[in-house]
Amino acid sequence: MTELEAVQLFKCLADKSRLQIVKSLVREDMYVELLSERLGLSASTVSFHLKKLSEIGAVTSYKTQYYTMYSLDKAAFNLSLLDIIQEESSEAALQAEREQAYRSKVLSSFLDEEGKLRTIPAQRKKRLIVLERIAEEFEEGRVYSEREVNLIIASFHDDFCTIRREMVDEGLLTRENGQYSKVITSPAD
Amino acid sequence: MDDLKAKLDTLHQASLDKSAQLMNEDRGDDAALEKIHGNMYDIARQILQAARKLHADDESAALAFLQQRLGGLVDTWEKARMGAVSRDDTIRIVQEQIKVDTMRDICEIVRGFAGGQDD
Repeated sequence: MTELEAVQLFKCLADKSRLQIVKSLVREDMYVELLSERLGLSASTVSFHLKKLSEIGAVTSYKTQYYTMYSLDKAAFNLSLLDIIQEESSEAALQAEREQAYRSKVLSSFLDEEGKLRTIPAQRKKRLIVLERIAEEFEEGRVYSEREVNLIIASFHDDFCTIRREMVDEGLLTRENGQYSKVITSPAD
Repeated sequence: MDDLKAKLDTLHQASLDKSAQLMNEDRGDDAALEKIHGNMYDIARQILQAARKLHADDESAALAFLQQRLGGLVDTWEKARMGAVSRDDTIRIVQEQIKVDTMRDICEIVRGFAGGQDD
């Protein structure tokens, strides 16, 4: 289901009258006058709602000898909410672009021409971006002594103690028995 | 004429109240349809006001003016409804039907008042 279809489905069902109609049709096929009687709505109002439900493929109709019958298209309701929200956003590429642009903007604000940190950002989200940049200097799978860690960080900023501690707190480095290693992150992180 | 105005005001307000209630019940489209209903009473109120201004000294003439205008609106909206039927535009059919039915009801109310005037 595309995002547009999901929005149309949610908008259509975010109406108590239409929800009542759908709840009636899930039990049995019905004609307009029967729905009108059962739900206390005028026949024209029921027709209005059935038209909206048909437009999103939730309801289909067929003619019998006396009536036009309406039935629920159960296939349209077979997706779970989780299925719908797990679909990749149609704006995924744009969102990634925006995120990258923000990261670049933060890094160019806080790093000078030589790549040294002018100041440690006060705002956490910006600080994290800077720390992640520093983490790029560490190899995955390699164990570092505290001295080695300090040297790498010192190439960015003199306060290597604070930055080292922050990198451990933010889960970018792990520390065990005085030794450090880079935390490996999965693509989803 | 004051009684007719009061009647239309009451019906208009009742429609506004019903529309608000439907919105509270998350029946947004039903509320919108009820608003169409209410708008008809509002239109009739405004035409009545114009009729009273035009024929300030002649109530019969004012009523006749009102009936003529309302009747004209019924014809216009009936044509619009038939157009919607020819296009199989269900949504529009329902909307125009509400206008036609409500305006016909209003014409009936006005006829009742005009008949009272003739007595």
